[in-house]
Amino acid sequence: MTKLDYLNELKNELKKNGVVDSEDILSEYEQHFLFKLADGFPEEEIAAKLGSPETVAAQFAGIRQERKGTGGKKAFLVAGLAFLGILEGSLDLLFLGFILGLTGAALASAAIGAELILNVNFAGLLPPMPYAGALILGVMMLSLAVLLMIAALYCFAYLRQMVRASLRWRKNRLSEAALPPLPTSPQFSPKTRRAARSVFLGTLMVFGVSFVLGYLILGLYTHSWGFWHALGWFGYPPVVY
Amino acid sequence: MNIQYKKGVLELCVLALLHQRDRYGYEVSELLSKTIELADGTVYPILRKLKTDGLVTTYLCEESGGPPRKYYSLTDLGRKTYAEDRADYLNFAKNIESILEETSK
Repeated sequence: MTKLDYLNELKNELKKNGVVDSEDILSEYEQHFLFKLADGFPEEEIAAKLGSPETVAAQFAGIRQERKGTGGKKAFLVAGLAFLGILEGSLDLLFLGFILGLTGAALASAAIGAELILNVNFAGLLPPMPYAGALILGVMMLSLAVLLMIAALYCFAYLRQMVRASLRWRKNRLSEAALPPLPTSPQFSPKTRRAARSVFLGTLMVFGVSFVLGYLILGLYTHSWGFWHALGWFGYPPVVY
Repeated sequence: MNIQYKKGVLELCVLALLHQRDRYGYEVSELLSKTIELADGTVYPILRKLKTDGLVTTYLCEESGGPPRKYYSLTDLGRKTYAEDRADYLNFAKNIESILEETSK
């Protein structure tokens, strides 16, 4: 008898004997097959050594049925979990909104950065400034975009892990064979963690340097530390050079 | 050997193995079939019976590269039952032995 035949027959026999939870039992026997197969035994021999499905099923039938949590208690648990779920779900949604906001900010920063660097002024959104300054500020905006995107991705990984951990916890409350709980913070491999950290720090450095440099260039160009006045941003009258 | 002899003590043997440490079903099955001649499929019903009787609990443990394994672990009741049954059995076996030896003289 092959593994599949054996498991199928065992399933039928268990059903015939009115054994509940046959899934659980079958998975145990399937694992037995897997272990034995890994040790190099042929399926026929493993099946033969297990004993016939009839005998095995009969042994299970002799056990008095276990009682799973009484109906009322279980309903109470489900109601509690559902209520908690609504609370949790709305907090998760709030967090998701924040993440979407971060992503939007990142995309907007990237667009502005690209415009500055390419020296286009689509829809007249950008204030006037010399190209040298625009280039540096463009780099700054691009690095800001990367920083925001990393933040958004990290937050998303966090949200995902929290939802997974919460689902695992729920599953464990409701079923009896408990899986180990999951951590609530995202678990990255050391390699990913190192890479993310160096990208983040590198970009932060670029952001800082281009911020200072851009400020200096525009300051020198206008001979003013409040260059936005001189360039006529935010509705100030521009000084013509 | 008579199957009736084995049946009664298999539960005790399983408890003994689990008393050493938590084990998964296949482990118990292998260890027992090494010393006692029995069908491989016999151990799982015993584990299940011990569970419904509240002598053992199960938990799943994720293994790298494979489905999670179901480990069996003695409960407090299981530990107590094991201690009592073990003492009972050893005492019983001693008595039987002495009867058999005396009558063979």
